[in-house]
Amino acid sequence: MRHLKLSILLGFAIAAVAAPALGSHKNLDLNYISPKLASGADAIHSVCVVPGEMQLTRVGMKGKEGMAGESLAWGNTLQKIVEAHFKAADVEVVNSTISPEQLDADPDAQQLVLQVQKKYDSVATQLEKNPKDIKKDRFSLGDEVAILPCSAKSDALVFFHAEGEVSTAGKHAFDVWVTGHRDEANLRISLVDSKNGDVLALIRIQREGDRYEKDPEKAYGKALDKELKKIKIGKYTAKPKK
Amino acid sequence: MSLLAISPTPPDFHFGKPDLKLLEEANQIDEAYARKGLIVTDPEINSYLEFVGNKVLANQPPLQYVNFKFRVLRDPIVNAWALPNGSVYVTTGLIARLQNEAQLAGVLSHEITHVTHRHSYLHNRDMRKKMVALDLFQAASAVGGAWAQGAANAGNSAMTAQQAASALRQQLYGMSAEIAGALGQSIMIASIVGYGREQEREADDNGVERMVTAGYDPHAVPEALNLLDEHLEYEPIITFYRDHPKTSDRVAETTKLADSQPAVAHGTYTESDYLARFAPVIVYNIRADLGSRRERTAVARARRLLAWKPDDLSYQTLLADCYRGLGAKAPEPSADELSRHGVAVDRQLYFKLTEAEEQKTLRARPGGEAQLAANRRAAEQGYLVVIAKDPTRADAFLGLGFLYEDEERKAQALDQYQRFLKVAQPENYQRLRIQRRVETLQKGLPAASASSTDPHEPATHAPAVTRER
Repeated sequence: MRHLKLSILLGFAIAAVAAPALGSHKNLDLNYISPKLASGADAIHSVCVVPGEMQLTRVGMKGKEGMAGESLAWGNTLQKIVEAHFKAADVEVVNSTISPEQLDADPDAQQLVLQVQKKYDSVATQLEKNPKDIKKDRFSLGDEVAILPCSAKSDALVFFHAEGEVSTAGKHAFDVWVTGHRDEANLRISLVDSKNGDVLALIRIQREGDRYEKDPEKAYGKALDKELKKIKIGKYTAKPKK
Repeated sequence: MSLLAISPTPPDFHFGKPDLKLLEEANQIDEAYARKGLIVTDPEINSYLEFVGNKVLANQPPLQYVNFKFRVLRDPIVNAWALPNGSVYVTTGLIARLQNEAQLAGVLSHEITHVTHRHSYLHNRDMRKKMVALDLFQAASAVGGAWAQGAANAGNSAMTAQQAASALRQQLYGMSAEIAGALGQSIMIASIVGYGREQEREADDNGVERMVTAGYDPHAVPEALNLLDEHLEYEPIITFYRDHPKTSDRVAETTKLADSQPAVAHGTYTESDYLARFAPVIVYNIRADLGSRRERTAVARARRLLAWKPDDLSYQTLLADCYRGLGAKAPEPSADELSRHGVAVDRQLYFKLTEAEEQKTLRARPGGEAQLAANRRAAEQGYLVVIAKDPTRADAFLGLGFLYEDEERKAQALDQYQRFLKVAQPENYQRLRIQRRVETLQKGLPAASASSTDPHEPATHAPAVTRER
């Protein structure tokens, strides 16, 4: 009987130690690119960043809570980081007409952005489920994207979404020792042709741990540079085959 | 004396820390809606909604942490909800569906009860208990599930699933619920998608009572419920109070309650008055429906506006846009589509295919091409009638241009686009788009055909994929 108890205890101890390792998430960087961009037939040297959707959620033992203030701050930081890395890739960022401050002052422009964002949402389900189909040029928002004022001055529109979870101390301890789950955040960046609305590329970056919130540049910076290079924009633009 | 057994407002609701946190989230949701530009800001519409809302609030005593506000939210999904801080939202989709002020009052009465009876807080408390149980269950199953979880997370499948779920949530529930879900707990989603059976029933019962007190015919409550039970499109998710309990049961129950009320004279609330108040909202919603794969709903709403004002050229153009948007889809669902098998097929079309792919599939079906041709002719007829009456209608030239280009009648499309550019205001946001189309068409057309202006040139053939939807 004593032997059995010891075995059970040992089993639990091993499981408690092993579970975090087995259940841990890896940092993931993925990209999907249209043949037009890959071949150099389409080149992106300027982008208009559509105001993104950034959401942090606090996860506790008794459910989830919103983090509106933190989400807004995180979103602003993330938008600046994304823009900075586009610029570092020699891609001009031309979003002065649809910056959050501008939209607050211009309800008509805000409605146009909303319309284009909804259009993006209408293809997002299939896009997120089958991102590889970008290679088949399957997804398009149509030339309705041209209604955005910044469409005329840019080669592509950038839609970006980020979601992150922040565990409370209790939930964090519980997860580390029991489920192995760690806080994680996902950043998705889609590039859409600003003339015909075709989805040209999608970048996904997943980060675990709490660094994404405390130091987003450190969490995303290198990955962004790497992925922007892979999708061949700005100074990395592919030379079209003759 | 009323025969209703109305459960009273909880008199001594004591706010705990989680309740105050929920209240804070509700306030944040309000701010997020406003920041996103989702709230209709038309002062006339807002004051009318406030008027109806305050009428059904009647002698409602003040409640702690509640400040009632009634707002219209830009969302084509037919829905209404109340946040625990007293913000009551009615979507443009629901406004477009209702027929008169009394029905609107019925919806608001229902939602007010969720606030006065603190349903959000009660639901939240209940959910928190369940979450602890869920975590403990998770702990118990963690040992066995760790291997599987580790394997799933090693690849991109977990990431893909999470992101796809987020995108899907946005498409299904609309942007409003997405924002609420992101900012708040699952409870906020419950506020929007619906509470439990008992709480919904309580809101129905109390709503009928409020209607009587406010001088509305309480039969408007079951009328509104009936209107919501519309089956024009495949609905990926059943929102509002259409699910639990079943609408038919609720219609029967609220009708019984309304019948039991003493007969008194009620005001007359006509559809015409209602449309006069909300026509701009309905027009907005028709456009939103067209952008959300809800073309049949758009057609139905545009027909309604046109039946109200048959000579209105903007409504005629809008209806033509709706016919064009239908593509190869029939304006009404067939009996087969309404069957269980038909719904399953529609579900597959909705989730697996993009809009363009869905149209291609519809066209390949028996009768698909004929339906497409019929819709296009209806649209063309509509545009031409408008242009004949008013040759300065930019929106009609635009629609006709899109239609002709879809049909590969490039010269005529070019002509209509050029007319649009000629009459459209300089600040028209479609200008850039059309200028680009004109440039493309001019490059592909010989000089002679580029000047063709005959609108009755026969269609050659339609392209495989419609460009403008």
